[in-house]
Amino acid sequence: MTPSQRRSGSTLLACAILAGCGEGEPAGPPPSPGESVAGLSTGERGRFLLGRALFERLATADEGLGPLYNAERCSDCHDQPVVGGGGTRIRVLKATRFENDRCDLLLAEGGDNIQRRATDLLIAHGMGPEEVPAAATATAQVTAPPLLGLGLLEAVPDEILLEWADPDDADGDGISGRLPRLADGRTARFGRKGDASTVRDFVDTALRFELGFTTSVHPAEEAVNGVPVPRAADPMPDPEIDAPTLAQITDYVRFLAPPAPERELPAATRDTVAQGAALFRQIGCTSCHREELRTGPAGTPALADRTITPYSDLLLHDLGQTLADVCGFDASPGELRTAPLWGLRHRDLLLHDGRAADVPAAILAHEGEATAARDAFLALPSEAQRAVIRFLLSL
Amino acid sequence: MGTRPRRSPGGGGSRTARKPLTPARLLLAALPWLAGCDSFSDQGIAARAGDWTLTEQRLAELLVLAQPYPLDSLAVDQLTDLWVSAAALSQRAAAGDSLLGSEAREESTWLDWREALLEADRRQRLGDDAAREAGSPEEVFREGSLRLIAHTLRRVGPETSSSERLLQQRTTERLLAIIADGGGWDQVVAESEDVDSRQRGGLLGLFAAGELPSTLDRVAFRLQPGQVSGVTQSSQGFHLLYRPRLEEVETLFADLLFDRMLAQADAGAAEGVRSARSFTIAPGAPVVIGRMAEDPAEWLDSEQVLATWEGEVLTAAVVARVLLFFPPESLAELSEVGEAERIRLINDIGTRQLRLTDALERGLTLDPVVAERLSLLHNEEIEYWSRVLEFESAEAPSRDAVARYMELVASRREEARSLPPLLDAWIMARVDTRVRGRGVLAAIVLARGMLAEAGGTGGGGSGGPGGSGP
Repeated sequence: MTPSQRRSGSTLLACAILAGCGEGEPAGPPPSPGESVAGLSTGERGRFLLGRALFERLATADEGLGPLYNAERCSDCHDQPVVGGGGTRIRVLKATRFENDRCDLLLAEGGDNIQRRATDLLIAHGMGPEEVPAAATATAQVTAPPLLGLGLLEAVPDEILLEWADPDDADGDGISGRLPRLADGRTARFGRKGDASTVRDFVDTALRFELGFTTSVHPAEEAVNGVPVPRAADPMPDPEIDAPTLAQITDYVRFLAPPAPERELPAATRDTVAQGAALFRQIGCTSCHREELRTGPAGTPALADRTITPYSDLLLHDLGQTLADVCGFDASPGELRTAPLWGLRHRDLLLHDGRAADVPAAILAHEGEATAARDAFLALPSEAQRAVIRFLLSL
Repeated sequence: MGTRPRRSPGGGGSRTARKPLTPARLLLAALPWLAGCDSFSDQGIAARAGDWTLTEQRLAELLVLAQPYPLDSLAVDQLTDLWVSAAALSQRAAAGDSLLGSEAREESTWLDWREALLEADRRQRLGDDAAREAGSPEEVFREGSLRLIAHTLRRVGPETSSSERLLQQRTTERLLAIIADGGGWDQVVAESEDVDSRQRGGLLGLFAAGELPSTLDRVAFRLQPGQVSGVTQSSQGFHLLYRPRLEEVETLFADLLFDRMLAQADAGAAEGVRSARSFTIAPGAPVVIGRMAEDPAEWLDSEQVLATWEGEVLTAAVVARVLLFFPPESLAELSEVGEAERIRLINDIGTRQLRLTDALERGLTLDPVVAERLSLLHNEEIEYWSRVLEFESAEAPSRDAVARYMELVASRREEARSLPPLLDAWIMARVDTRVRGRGVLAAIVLARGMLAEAGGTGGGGSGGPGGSGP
C-alpha cells in the first residue's frame, strides 16, 4: 500500500517544483490494485481505511447478519485479485419471471436474490434458506463484479452516457444502448442489469441481500420467500447498519482506484498490445466497450474531471439468447450492461456468470448487438486474434 | 547489527513507551521532533528492518484499518514490532538463513526444551511423593477446593466503543442462551476469542480459591460440576465459566492434580536445595533485574552474574532469555515491584538453572517423543511464516508480502501471531533493526487525526457526483 497523498500545501508545492504536475490528473505511478485513488484528503483516506476494515470484517448474527444471507463479509466475494476486486468463488443465485415483456423481480416471493444461507436462529424457527420460487422463468448464478474504479464511473455525468445511448438504433448501426431507469426515475449504471444508480445504492443492495443487513436506507428486514421473518428470529434492532457505517463502506468502494493496464512491457509485447488495441477498435468492439470516459464534478476532488479508460459505455445492450437469463427492473433477459474491461487480466472467469474460462470463449458468447463485432473478430487471421486477446489481457 | 532497542515477548514490547499515552507525553515526544533533532534520514520513519522502512504514515494507516484497536503506545508498539519481525524474518529467509536448521530450532524451542527436562527431573526426584500427595483425584474433585475451570471470552478493552461492548455482551448472552437451550459447551467455546484456551475446549487450568482474578474466582467457586455461569465481566471482557463434570475430565484432572502436587513438592524443596548448595544472590542483582525488565533483549549476551552456587553461576543472559517469554504487562510490573519480589524471581529462575545443570550432569536427556514434538512445532511455525510472508515466491524477500500480511492482521483476516521470542531475537541479531519511539507516537497522532477527520463527515459520506450525494 502506498502512503496516501495528502493535498497539503507542502505536497502541492513539492509536486509543482519536482514534477511539474498538471491539473486534474494524478502524477506518479498508478495506485496498486485495492488501493485508493490518488489525491484523497486525510479525512477521505481515513474513511477509505475505516470502510475497508468494515468491508473485511466478519459479520455475526449478533450484529445483524442475516437472517438470510449469502456471505459473512463483503470480502468473501470481492477478493480477486485483491480485496475490493471481483470474485467467482461464491456465486449468487438469481431468479426472475419475464412475461409479456415485463420483468417480475418476484418481490412477493422474497425477491430475485435467492439467499442460500440462514442463521441458526432462523432455522430454529423452522425457516430455512430460500428456494427458487415456482413462478420464476429463469435463474442465473452470477459472480461478484469487480468494484475497482466504481467511484470514477459514478462521477461520469449522465449526459455523456445519454449522448451515446441510441435506444431505437436511430443511426442504424445495429447497436442500441440505453441507460435504464429505476422505479424512482433515476438512471442506473451499476449492476449487470443496470439496477443501481449510485455506489451507495450498490453497496446498500449488497449489504441487504448478500449479508442480510437492514440499513438506514432500507430498515425493513427482507421476507423469506415472501414470509415475514419472526421478530424473535432476528432480534437485532433495525437498522442494523446505520448511516455513518453505510457511508464508510460506500466511501471505501467509491475511493477504490481503477485497475491500471500492464506497465513496463517488453518492446515486442508492447507492439502486439498496440496492434491488438487498434484491431479492437477496428472490428467495432469499442462501439460498446468505449475506451475513454471523462468524469465531471464530484464531491471528492480526486474523482472529478478525470479521463478514465474503463472500456465500457455503462449502457444496457441486448447480447442475444446465449447470454440471456434473468431480467432486471428495466432490463430484458438478453440485456446486459457493458462490462468494463479494465482489470480483465485479473479475472479468472469471464462474463456475468463466470461461464467463460478465457477471452475467446467470452467473445464467442456475444450475440445480439455484438454479433457483428464478434464475427469480425472471428474473421481475423489467428495472429491478429492473438493480438486482440493479448491487448485485452493487458488491461 | 542487532541494534533494535527493545523487544518483548508475545509480539509485544516497547522501546520508549510502556506508559499510557498522555497529551503531556505526546508533547514531550514531539518537542525534539518539531525542533528538528532527528536525523533527516529518520524523519517520517516509525521502524526500520535492514533497508526496509515502515513510515509513520503507513503505520497510521494500519492503525486506522485496524479499528477498533487501542491507540495507545503499548498496543501500537506490538503492531510495529510485528512489522519489524516479519520484515527481518523475510529478509533473513531470503538471505539463506536456515530457519529449519538446528540453531534456529534450538532457539525457537529453548524454553519448551528446558521445561520438559525440568519436568522429567521433577518426576524422577519427586514423582512418588507427588502421587501420594495427590491421593484420590475423585475425592479431591468432589471436595472442590481445587477446581478445573473452562471459559469463553468475548474481549473488550479500554478503547472498545460502547456499541462494540454491547455487541460483545449480547454475543455472550446468546452463547449462554445456547447452553440454556440444551446446547453443548463445545458449541459455545468455538466462539471464544481466547485463542489459546479455545484450542483446549476453553480450559484455563486447575485452580484453588483466590488464584483466579477476583470476579472470576467468586463465580468459579460457586459453580457445581457441569454448571455454566451467567455472563461474568472482567477487565478482559465478558466470560462464561464452566466447571466440567468429573467424567468429562477424569484423566485430565488427575494429570493436572499430579502436576500441581509435583510443583508444590518441588517448590517446597527449593529453599532447602538453595541453602544446601550455597545459592547466593549477587549484590545489586535485584536492581539489575529491574533494568532488565525494561528490555530483556539487550541482556542476551550479558555475562553479568546474578547468583552463584558451588562454582556455578546464573548469568543475566539466562535470566534475559526467560524474561523474554514474559508478557509485556508482567515485565512492566517487574520494573515497578520491590526488591523482595525480584529476589523471589531470581531464586525461582536460579533454582531451575541449578536443577537443570544437575539433571544434565546426571545424564538426563529429553524423551525422544517430546523432542520430536518440539521439532514439529518449530517446523509448523516456520511453515506458517513461509506461507504468510511468501518465502517461496520469486520476489522473496517481498516488501509487498509483508505489507499484505500486516493488512491481513490489521483487518483481522489473519490472527496476529508472534515469533517465538528467542527465535525472534536470533533473527534480530542478524538484521539491523530499529523502532523509532517518536515515529510510533507520531503515527498514533496521525491515525487519530485521520480518524477525527474521517469521522467529521463520516455520517454523510463524501457524497456522489457533484457532491450532492445520492
